[in-house]
Amino acid sequence: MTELLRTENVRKSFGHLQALDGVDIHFNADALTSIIGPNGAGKTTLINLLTGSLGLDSGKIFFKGEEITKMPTHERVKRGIGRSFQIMNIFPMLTVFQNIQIPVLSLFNKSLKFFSRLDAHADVIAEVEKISRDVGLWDKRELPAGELSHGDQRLLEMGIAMSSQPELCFLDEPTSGMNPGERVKILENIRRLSKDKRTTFIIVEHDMDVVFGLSDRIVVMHRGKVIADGRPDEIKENENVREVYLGEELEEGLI
Amino acid sequence: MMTRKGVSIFGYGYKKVSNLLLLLLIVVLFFVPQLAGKYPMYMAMHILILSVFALGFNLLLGYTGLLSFGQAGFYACGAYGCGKVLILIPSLLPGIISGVLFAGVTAVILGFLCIRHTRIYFAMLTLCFGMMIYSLAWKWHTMTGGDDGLVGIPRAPLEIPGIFSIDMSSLQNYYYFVLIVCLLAIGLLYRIVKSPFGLILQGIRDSESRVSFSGVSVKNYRLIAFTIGGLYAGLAGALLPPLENTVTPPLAHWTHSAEPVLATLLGGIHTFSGPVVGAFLFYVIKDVIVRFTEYWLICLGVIVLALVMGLPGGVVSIFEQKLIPWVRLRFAGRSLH
Repeated sequence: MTELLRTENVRKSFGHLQALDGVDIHFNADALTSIIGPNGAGKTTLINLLTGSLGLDSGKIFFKGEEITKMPTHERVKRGIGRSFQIMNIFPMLTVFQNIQIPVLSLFNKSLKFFSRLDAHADVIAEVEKISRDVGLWDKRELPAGELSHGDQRLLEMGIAMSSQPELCFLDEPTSGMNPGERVKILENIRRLSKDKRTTFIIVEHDMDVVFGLSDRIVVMHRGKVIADGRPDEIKENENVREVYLGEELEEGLI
Repeated sequence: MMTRKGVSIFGYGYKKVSNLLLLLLIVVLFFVPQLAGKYPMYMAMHILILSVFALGFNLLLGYTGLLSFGQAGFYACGAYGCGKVLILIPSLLPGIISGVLFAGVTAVILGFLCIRHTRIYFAMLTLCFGMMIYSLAWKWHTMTGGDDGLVGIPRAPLEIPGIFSIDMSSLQNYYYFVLIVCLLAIGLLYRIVKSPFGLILQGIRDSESRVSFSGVSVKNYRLIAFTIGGLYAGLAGALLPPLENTVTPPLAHWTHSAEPVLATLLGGIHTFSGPVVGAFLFYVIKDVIVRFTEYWLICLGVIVLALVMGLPGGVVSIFEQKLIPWVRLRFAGRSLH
């Protein structure tokens, strides 16, 4: 298996809160990895650091052997890193079609065309059509994205994230706030895309059915540290993990 | 935007009808000197100039999501640049071009400092830089003439030595020059907002982070948009000195930056034509109210306020949301059945 991403002793604090406390982690191609952990474990912070949305305090990040620690987001994306967001992040005033068109234009290096018409680029149009059909939003392509249902917006967001053809794609709670039917659609999409072997997914998720059903590997975080890392069956048996989750439940029970 | 598609008026597509109306408008504009007197011609020039000014501003506000309060600074750069050159070299093209370029260069430099911030911080920074340009125009006597401004700017002939020379001393000739330049500039901007680049700008307005996760450098695109806005403000400013023969510091004042803001809000920020319609309304409203009171800005302010609260999409949205569906229901509905 080829290594895609690796971190060395990554630290990040917000004021007094040590959000990430020396994280060493690596992600290989073709292994669907889930990152789990109680609220405040540092999962989203880790993704924000790896994708360049936040700067880190110390440590290093490598992508395919190249150091990307200080690289701005858009350059990381050009190198093959993508993500979806925990809080909906689409272009609400643009149509579904235009939403997908933006990353495709960038992928095809056509975003700096000032004077050509949008529909003059047949290759872009064809690719956008393919992606919108794949995520099942082709019939709604002319609708403003802000008017879609929550589930469809989630599907769209995934479509946008996939349009830049990332080798490594982070999905931050892809099924949050979805009804069961919509959830199945998203999971089908994730399964189908990871079967294509073009994209390696790393998922942050709270739903344990989703996590254990999809993942090849599970990373457990707690208070800014990785406390367990292994196959789903290994994680199920892991004492530390049980303690963390049981402890949480007990604490929540007391309150 | 979507409501336009598939709409038909009298059996013709929306596109056909609007193209026809546009053509009609342009024809009327070309006959303003014959049909109307000097004053309407003079007004039309001011409306055209404000249109270009406001369209450049709306590329920032409506398309990129940046509210600039410093556009008058670039307008003044265009006006002073053009005026200064025209005094030295009495030829129209070098004057206009140097005004536009001067504004563009200023916009690149100030833009580099401003686009790092968004929302209120961006607005405040542009306001500050705009007022710095105002102070320069006010204080730098040897260069700008201080509070007297630049005076005696000639309406120089449009010429390319050895090829042609058109005299501009008649207002009518200059009107045609302004009309053609503005129409070209507006057409060019229309192409830009409908291009891939234009779509990326709208993406930045909707969600900055999603655009950078599409592999696009948000800062660079903002800077380009800011520069185009500056160039358009500069062009508007550069067309003024040959018309008025003077350039004075108030052109750079922040209250002058409010003109494209008001015009854009009047017309509507989410349509391309909004700022043009707004510029027209701005001058018509001003012209009517000024006959009754010198405090015309109060009245205009009330009108804009009422519009923003009651009709956030501006005047143009009346056509899109009310008039077109109504016409369709009334006329096209019958022909369908």
